[in-house]
Amino acid sequence: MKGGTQDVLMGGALLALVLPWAATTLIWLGTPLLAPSDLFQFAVFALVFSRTMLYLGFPRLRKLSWGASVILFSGDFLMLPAAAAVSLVTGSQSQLAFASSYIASWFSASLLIYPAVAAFVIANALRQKARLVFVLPAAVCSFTITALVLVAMGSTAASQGFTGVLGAALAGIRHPVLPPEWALVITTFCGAVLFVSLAAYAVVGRSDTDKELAPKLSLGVAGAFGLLVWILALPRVGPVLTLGVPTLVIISVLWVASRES
Amino acid sequence: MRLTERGRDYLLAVLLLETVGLAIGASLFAALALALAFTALISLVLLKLRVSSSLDISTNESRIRLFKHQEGRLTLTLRGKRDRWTSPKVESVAFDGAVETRVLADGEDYVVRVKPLKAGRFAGFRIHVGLSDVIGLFSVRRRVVLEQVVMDSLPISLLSRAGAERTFPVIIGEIPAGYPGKGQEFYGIETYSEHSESRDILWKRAANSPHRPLLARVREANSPESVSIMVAHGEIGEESRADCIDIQCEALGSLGGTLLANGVEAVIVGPDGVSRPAKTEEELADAIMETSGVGVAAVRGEIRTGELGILVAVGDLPGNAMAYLGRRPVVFVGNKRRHPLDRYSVDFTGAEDLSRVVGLVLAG
Repeated sequence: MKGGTQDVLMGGALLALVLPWAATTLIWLGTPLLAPSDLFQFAVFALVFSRTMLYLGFPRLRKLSWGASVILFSGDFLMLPAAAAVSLVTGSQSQLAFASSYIASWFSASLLIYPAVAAFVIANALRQKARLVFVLPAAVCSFTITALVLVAMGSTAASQGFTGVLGAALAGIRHPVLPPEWALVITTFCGAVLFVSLAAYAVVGRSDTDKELAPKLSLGVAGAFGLLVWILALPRVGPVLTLGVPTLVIISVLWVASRES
Repeated sequence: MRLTERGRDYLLAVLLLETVGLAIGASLFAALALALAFTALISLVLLKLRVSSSLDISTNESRIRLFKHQEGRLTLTLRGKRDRWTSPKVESVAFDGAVETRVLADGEDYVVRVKPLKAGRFAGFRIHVGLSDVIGLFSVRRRVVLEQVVMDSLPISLLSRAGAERTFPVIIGEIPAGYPGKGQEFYGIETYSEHSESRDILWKRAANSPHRPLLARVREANSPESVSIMVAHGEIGEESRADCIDIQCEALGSLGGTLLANGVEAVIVGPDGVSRPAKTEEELADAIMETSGVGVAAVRGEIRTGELGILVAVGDLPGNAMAYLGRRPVVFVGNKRRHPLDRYSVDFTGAEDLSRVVGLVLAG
């Protein structure tokens, strides 16, 4: 992939992932009720924040295996079964209560901080021409979670505590709310940018010359046009039938075609 | 048609994206998956439309001549089908025979490094071209054979003979060999024996000293102007053919080189019965290469003696073959030693010195 094209794709994806996160952070910072209310919550927040800073600041940490990275960022979950075991042995519920409140605070802090890490990791993966099978789902998941938190906080930020960031997100999943207009604009714009960036990244691959780049991009445009025609031509019968089934059929056709001798 | 590594990654990613998009209710990304699937489908259709069109491949030279184990270069050019929607790529190349090859991309062209591991003539330059679609998801492998490209791998024995000191001087007319034989020139005197001819007895000396042993003149041998080296092929297994031809070339190089170094023309008679005279090293190399390219099956089991000088017997000769040979030097190559070796025959494996065989012929 040419340096310029790669920079544009990476910049687009980074913008699409960081903008909702930045808006979420602004809401959080502008809402005193959502700030850590005691030393414990602040300590949990600081713990998550410092891990993120360490990860971003030390390249050697970024070279850790996936398993080690997952443990580094979400090893806190192990506290729950450990606390449950201790509670069973001692008969006291205090350890379990402590672990539960820790995990709730950790979740809130993670929802606020980790999208930035995810954006960094995905942009880095784009730069290093990582495999599509990682980049596409990871970018989509990261964007969706960030957008969900943004919409949920924009709608219900008024009366929650620090752990309410998680509560707002969960409430947003259970009862989808109509997002404020500004949140809708941000998520739609960022979603479109991410759509284009990921489509271009998937289609362009590793082009070395401008000569190769143009036909690839035009093919991507043709694919997007095909999608548009398909959506306009078909009645709205639900995303599974409109999008899921045809995708599956096309993949099957491509798979079978690649098998013929 | 096959999926490339990128193609597998792409399709798996599209499938995952669709699943994730539908699972989390993000229709936008499910739509992205469908758009990517459409793109792949269009790309496949374009590849299918162009896959049957011909490929034009050429090389910068049609004949490469190298010594065995010497590395050379060949430039391949793909013309015509470098269009916008397919990208041909040379994946591998090979000769019919033991030739090490390596392909390196060099801009629009490809540089093929070739290194023959055995001597002989190798034809049939096979090129495997991978034709992939524009986004590199699918690939079709096509094989192109350039019959006109020939590689001559010269035996190393030619190198070792190049510039060798000549034992026998070249003169106009008869060439005295420098050793006793049946020529006209005086070589020396020896005591008469049953092998000596009576016309060589020094009668005057015998008359002066009747009680002393008879002395006889020894004549000097004449070097022949040319010596034939006949190549005869017996049964050769297909798996050992390249080895046999390699050793055959080495034997011809060694014998022919020695003859040339002695001022004698080498006439190589191939298994096809065609004589290929060689007065220079260049002609000798040509003759060896032409002989190595002659098919085995055409003359299997037939021994032509004719003006036989030295026989290079490759493979297992027919049982009655030795009857035709007489007392002629035979260089056995790849033989299962059905015939006992005597002073006229050599079992050659590629490195032995064959100057003794040449000496036997030159001595008449």
